[in-house]
Amino acid sequence: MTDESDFIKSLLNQKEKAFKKLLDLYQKRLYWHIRKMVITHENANDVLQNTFLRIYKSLPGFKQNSSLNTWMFRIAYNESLRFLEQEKKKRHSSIDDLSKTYMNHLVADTFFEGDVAQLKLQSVLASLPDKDRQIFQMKYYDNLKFHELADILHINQSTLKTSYYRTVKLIEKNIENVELFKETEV
Amino acid sequence: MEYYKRRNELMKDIDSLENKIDKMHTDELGLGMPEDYFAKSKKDILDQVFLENISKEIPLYRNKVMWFAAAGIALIVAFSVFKPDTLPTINDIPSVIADTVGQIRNLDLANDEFFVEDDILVASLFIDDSEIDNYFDTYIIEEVVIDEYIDHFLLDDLTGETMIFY
Repeated sequence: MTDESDFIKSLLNQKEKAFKKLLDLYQKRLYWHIRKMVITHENANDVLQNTFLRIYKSLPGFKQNSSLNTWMFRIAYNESLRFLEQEKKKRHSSIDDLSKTYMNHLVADTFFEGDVAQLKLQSVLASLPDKDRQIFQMKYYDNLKFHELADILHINQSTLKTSYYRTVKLIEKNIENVELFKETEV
Repeated sequence: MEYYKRRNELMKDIDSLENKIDKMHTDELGLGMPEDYFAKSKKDILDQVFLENISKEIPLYRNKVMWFAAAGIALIVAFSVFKPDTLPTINDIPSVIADTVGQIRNLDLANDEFFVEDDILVASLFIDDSEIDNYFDTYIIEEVVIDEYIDHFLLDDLTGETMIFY
């Protein structure tokens, strides 16, 4: 624990070396988290940069009420939401509409390399309500614990667990029957 | 010794978790990225964070000086356009600011940013206060001053804490 305290102290003093270390530890995990929220690589890259810039600027105000891990994921999550809000304004559409075009964005992404099985899974994920999808992805793919999710999303743990297990069942049920996605006009 | 052992184990755990997470995203979700993306991205982020912060670490007094200087420029340029006779002649003023007044008249302000901070304020002292008041009442281009104020203060503040929640 002393190590972590020292590390946080170095971060709070805005030490470049400590920040590099932070990047080494979290860059990949935050990238994947953001990528699943904003879908394309290009957008994820922009949001990731904004996230680390925001983390650096917010470090002096980090009160350590939550773990560094949770705090950083919360910033990444908020930055992704902020990006989606901006997209919504640009397109004069709602976040729900954006979610409907999830697959169009995904397939249009140069760095999506999915085969049939992966397209099926993505189609099932796209069909989920946004919040359920986010909860599932953050628990299953980002390897976050329920108490961390509760801190990030401000949702109580029982609701999160209910949503997660319901989603797992839905995915299992629908994965075989899902129709393969065909690209449509956005 | 125990510390290094523990640290190595922790790093191994992190590497193994990262590999597992990478694999899940590429194998199950089909998500890819450019080659060497993370190395390039790390460099971009560090450049952005540290270069931007160095360039933003301008002391507050300098912002204030810039604002007053901008107001001074607006005033003196406007004087030279609308009431050119109110500017002192080169012969009437000390030599230390003669160059400044000369530059103002030639509208050559943009060539030297430090000129703005130092000399323009000195030059503006040689315009009579009553002329300035009169000019403010009649000709002042408020927008110029307000825009400068917004650029130098408010936008800096806006880039700070506007998070949804933390």
